[in-house]
Amino acid sequence: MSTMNWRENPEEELVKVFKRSELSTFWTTNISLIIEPGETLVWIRDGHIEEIVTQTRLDNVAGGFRNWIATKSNGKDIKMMVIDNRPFEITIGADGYTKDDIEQSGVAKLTLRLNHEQANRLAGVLKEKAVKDTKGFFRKREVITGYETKLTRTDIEQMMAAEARAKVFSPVIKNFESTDFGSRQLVGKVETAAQVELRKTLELWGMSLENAYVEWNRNAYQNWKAEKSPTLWEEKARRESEMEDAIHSEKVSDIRADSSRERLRKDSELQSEIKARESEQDMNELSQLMKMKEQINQQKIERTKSEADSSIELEKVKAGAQVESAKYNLDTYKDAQAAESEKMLRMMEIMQGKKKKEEEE
Amino acid sequence: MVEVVTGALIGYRLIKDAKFILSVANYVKNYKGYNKEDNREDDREIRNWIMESINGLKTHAVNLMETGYRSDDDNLEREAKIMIDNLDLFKNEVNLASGKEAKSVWTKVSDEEFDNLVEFDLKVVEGIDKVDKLMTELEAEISSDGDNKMKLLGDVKSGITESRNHFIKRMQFVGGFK
Repeated sequence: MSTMNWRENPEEELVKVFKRSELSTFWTTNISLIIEPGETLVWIRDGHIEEIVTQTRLDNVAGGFRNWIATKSNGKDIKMMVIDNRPFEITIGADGYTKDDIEQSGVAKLTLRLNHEQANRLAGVLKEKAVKDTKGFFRKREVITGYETKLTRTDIEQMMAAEARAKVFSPVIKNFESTDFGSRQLVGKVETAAQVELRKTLELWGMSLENAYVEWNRNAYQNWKAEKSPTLWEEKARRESEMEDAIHSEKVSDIRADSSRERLRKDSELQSEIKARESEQDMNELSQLMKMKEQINQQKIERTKSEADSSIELEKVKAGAQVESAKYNLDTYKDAQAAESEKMLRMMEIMQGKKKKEEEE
Repeated sequence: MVEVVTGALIGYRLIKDAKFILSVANYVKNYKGYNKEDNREDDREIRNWIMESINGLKTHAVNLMETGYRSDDDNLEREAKIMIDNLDLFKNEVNLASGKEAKSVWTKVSDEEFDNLVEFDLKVVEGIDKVDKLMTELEAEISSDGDNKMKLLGDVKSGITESRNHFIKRMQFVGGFK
């Protein structure tokens, strides 16, 4: 039993329709068809979708595929559409003029997906293509042997390119300066613009946009920058180096200043501490000295008091002695006076006696 | 006695399952709760419904992105882009999730396992419906510059993640069929 491959070029062919006449090929031969994850088979009978089949193997084991087709072939017009609904990438050229009128170009990569649940919409964009063959003795004569209906990646690229350029890339490019190309903001804007501006077309065709980005070519500004860059780079590098040196030396001096300040601060703290301790010690000493002085003073006062007391006593004694002496002297004086007076009286008497004698004489 | 209890339990389960099936069928047309001859059909119906609903959610998200784009609101653009990315990943998950071989999975497992699968389906379907309502509310809130938009943005993002996680659990459950 052989397995049917529904497309010849998996990279290019995304949707293919088999008509009833083509299905008879499988009808008569022993062929299986595998619908893999990411692929969908759609049965279209008399113009409407009858069934959507995913992830299965349709084979003629016990008459499976043959009978299955037979059950589907009751209508007049039967078509089998196979869809690859895995994400695929298309490439579109993007160009336009920037806000500062510099020409900008690039290559846009759009990741799309065909929505098999919207198979009826997809059916609307399928194109009939001629199947050509070469005939003749030298195989140089090209003849059309039939037609096949399919949708290829190239078809989608051609369908999308003009609209994407006009509605997405040119307006986005126009909104940015030439220096902005390569920025993160621009990347986000491209994707948003693609989602918003292409949504109508994509929905009409039964497709969805999964991702969009542009690989921008270098514009005139960037070229100029690239040409100038060796000199500019050298200059910039020199400046940066100088700047770094300056910053480094500033940092070193800052560190030094910081450490010196720290050292001074520590010294100052130490000094203050020492002074505080000295002051405390002085205070203690002073207080002890004061105490001692107070004691000395007390003793002195005591001594002075006792001295005063003793001097008073002495004075008293002296005064007593003096009084005694004076008393004695007075007594003595009185005695002496009395003796003197007596002596005087005697002398007077003597004198008076003498005079009387003389007078008598 | 045992027969009565067993009968009651079976009856309760049947009613519960029927309720779940009806709840899912409210959203997904032709859903039969895996009681068909070929149960892949229900799986297909559910997946198609999810993918179509994700398309609808993506339309809401692109609307939000457009509002941000036209009004130069970079934050709204970014938030909408995150939503779109998560929806694309969710859709990819639904699209590429393995359905296993028809004979071995969709026709030969027990009724009880299919009943449990109905519960998973209901969680996914209700989750997506909730996100849809939130996104409608969010669009209105942003249009009227309401105060609730930041909360709604967070709710929508977490709702998408929650639904996606339910679907992953569902597929793990299907993968675990014996």
